[in-house]
Amino acid sequence: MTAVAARAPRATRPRPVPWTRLVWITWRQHRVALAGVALLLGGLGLYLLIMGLKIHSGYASVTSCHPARSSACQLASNLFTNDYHPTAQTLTGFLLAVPVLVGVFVGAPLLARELETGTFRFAWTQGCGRLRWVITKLALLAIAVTSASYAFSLLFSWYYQPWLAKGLDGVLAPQLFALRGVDFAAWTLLAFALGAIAGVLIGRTVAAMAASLAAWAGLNFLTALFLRKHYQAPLVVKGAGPSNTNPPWVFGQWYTGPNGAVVSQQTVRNVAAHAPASVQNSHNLNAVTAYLAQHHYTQWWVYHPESRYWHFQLIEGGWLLALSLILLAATVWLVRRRAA
Amino acid sequence: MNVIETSGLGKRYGRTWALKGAALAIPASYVVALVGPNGAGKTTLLHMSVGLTTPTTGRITVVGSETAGSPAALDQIAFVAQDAPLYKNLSTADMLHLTRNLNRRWDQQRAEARLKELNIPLDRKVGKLSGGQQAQLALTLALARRPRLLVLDEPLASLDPLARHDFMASLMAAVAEDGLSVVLSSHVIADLERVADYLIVLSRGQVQVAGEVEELMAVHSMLTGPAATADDVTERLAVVHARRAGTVAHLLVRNGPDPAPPGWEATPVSLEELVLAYLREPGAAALPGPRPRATQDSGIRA
Amino acid sequence: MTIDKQTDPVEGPGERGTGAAIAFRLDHTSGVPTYLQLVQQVEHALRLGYLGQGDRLPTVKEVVTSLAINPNTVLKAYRELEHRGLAAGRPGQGTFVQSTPGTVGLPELTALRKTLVTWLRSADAAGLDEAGMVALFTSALRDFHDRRGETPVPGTRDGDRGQAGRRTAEGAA
Repeated sequence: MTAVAARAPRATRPRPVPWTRLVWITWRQHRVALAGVALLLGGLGLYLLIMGLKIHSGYASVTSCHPARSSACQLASNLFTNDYHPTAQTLTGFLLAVPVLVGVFVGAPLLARELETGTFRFAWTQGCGRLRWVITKLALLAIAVTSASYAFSLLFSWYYQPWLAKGLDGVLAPQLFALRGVDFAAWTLLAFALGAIAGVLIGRTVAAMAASLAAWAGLNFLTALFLRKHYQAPLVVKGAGPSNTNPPWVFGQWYTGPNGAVVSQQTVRNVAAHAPASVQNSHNLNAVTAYLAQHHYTQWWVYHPESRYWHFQLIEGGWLLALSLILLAATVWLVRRRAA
Repeated sequence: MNVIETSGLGKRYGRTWALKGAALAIPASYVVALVGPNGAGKTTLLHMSVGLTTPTTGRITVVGSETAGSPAALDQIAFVAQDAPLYKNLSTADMLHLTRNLNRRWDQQRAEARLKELNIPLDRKVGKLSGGQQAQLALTLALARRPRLLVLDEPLASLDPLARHDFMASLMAAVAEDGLSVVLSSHVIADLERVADYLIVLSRGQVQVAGEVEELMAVHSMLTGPAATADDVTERLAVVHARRAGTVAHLLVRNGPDPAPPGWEATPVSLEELVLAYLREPGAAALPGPRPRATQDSGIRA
Repeated sequence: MTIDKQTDPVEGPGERGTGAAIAFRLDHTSGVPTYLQLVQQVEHALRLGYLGQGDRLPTVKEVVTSLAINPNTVLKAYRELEHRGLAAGRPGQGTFVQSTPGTVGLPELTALRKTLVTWLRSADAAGLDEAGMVALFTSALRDFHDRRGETPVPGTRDGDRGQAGRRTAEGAA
C-alpha cells in the first residue's frame, strides 16, 4: 500500500516547460521518419500529378469531341480509356497500402526505440516529465501524418476524377472508397495510433512495426469485406438491377424461383440451358434474362447507391477517429504507468 | 533537508522483492555512495528516487518533501542512468539543445565550457564519441540543469581507469563549485572510497549500513589478536565479522573498547574492509536509530 | 613514511608565483586518512623550506580535479592547517601559508641533516639494515617523548592514529 504524499501548493510548483520547446524536439528526433513519409507521398504525388495532367487533358479532348455518339468519338473515348485506365486501377491496389506504411513507419519507432535503446530513462527524468513529452509528440506527429495523407488523397481524387465521370468505377467500391474523402487520412491516423501503442506495449521497433502492420491489415480487410456494407440498411431491387446512372456498390445478387424461394446459381444455369437456341444465341444480351423472367425466375440485387458515399465516409471516418483517439489515450496512459 | 527519505520502501517484481523495507534519510550536501553486489537493489532504489519505478510498499520523498517523480522533484534532480543513455544519432550540440528544451533551468555557457575543457567536439554525433566521452557528456548535461541532487547509476562501470579518474575528478570539481548533493552507486567499492562521505550498503534488497563515513570509521575498528582468546572477546563486544587465520583472529567490531584488551591490537578499518565485512554477514546492520521528526539523532545501534 | 614520500612541490600547476606552490599526491595504501596526508605534505614542505610565508595553497577545486577526492576532505585538511596555525584563508582569494612561530630555520635543518647522515653511516657500518634503523629510531623517539611527557608526535604512525581516532571520536559524541 503506497501512502500519498502531500502535494506542494500550486503557487510553489515550478512553471512547466512550454509546449513550443517540444516542437523542436519532435522535429529533430523524428525528421528521418517524416522525411521518409515526405519522400513516399511526394514521389507518388509527383507521379499522380504528371499522369493526372495527361489524363485530364486527354479527357478534355474526349468530352469536347462532337457529335458525342459518333463512332469516331466513341473510338477516341475507348482508346483514351484503354491507355490510362488499367494502370490507374492497378495503382489503386498499391496505394491502399500507403496509409499503413506512413502511419506505422512514424508511429511504431516513437516509443519503441526509446524503450529499446534505454533513452527513455533519459527523456522521462528531465524536468519536462513524461506526460507532456508523450502527449506533444503524439499530437504533433498524428497531425503531421494525417494532414499529409489528406492532402495526398485530395490529389488522388483529382487524378482519378475522369474515370468516375465516365462511370467506369463506383465511389463506394472497396478499392476506391479507402483512397478518397476522409477515409485515407483516417486509416493513416489509425495506423499511427496502432504503431504507437504497439511500440509502448512491445518495446522493440521491428516487432512493433510488424504487429501494428498485421493489426491494421486485419482490421482493414474485415472492414472492406464485412463491416462497411452494414453502415446502412442496403437497398434491394429486383429485375434488371439498380437504375442509378453512377455505378452503385452491388455486393449481393441472387435468383428466386417460381415459388419465391432462393435458388442456387447452378439451378439457374440448368434452367437457362433449356432455353431454345434462338434465345441462347441471341445478340440481345437481355434475351436469357427475359426468358428466365418469363419462367418466373426473378433476379434480385442488394446494393448501396453511390449517393450514400459521404454518409459512409463520415461513419467510417468517425469510428476510425474514435478508435485512434482511444488507442492514443491508452498509449499515454501506458507511458504514465510504465516502470523502468 | 533530506535529499532522499524513505520509509518501509519496497519493490516487488513478480514473486521477488528487489527492495524490502528500506528506511533511509539521506541528508543534503553529501556525496553518497550506494554500494552492494549486483542484484542488490541499487538500481531499483535509484529508479524510484527519480520516478522511473513506483514503490510496491512504503513511500519515498525527495529534495525535501517532494513526491519522487513529480514535476517539482524532476525539476531539481538530474539522473544519469546506467551506461549513460543518449541519442546516438544526434550531434553533441543537438543533445544540448534537446536537453535545454526539456528543462526549465539551463546553463548553456557552463555546458559548452565544460565540453571544451574535455575536448568533446560539438558537431560530432554522440554515437561516434568514446565511452568516456559519452559518460562525460551525460554528466555535463546533468550538471547544466543546475540540479539540487545528482543521481548516478553505476557511472563508472563501463569506463577504463583513466576515464574513471577523469569522470570522478570532473564530478568532484562540480561538487566543489556548486555544493550539490550526489548519490552514486557502484558494485566496486574502491572507486568510491575517496569521494564518499555518506555510505549506504545494500545487499539482497535490504539496507545494511547507512551513515556518515566519518562516523562509521570512528565507530568501527579491527581487533587483531590470538585466536585462543577470540571467543572470549567476541562475547563481550558487538562483532560484525570475525576471521581466523591460523593462530591469529581478526574481528571487525563496532564501538570497540579503548584501549584494546590485553594481547589485542586495535587498528582503524578502511571503507572497503567495512563494506566487505557487512556483506559477508547478512544479518549485521549499522543503521541510524529511530529519530524524532524535528531533530537528527545519529546514534548507532548494535 | 615521511620524508621519502615528499614530492617535488615546485612541479605544481604553473611555475612558482603563477600557480599554487604545491601539488599533492595520495598514497592509498598507507592507511592514513586522506585529509591528514594533505596536512602532512604541507607540513613537510614547510619544514624543508619548499613552502614559505604567503604562498598560495591550491584551491579546493584544483586539488579535487587532480586527485578526484571529496571536496570536504580538502576543506577538512585546510581547516586543520588553520587550526595548527599553518595556513589562513582569505575570503575570495584562497588559502595562504602562514609560517608557524618556532619553525626550524634552514641552516639548523642542514646541520641536523648532516648529523643524521653521519649516524646513518655508523649504523650501516655496524650492520643495521634499513628496517633496523627505522625501528631503532622510532623506539628512541618514543622514549624521548615519553620522558618529556608530550603528546605523541604527528607524523609517526601512532601519533596520527591516536590523533585521528581522538578527533573523530570527539566528533561522533
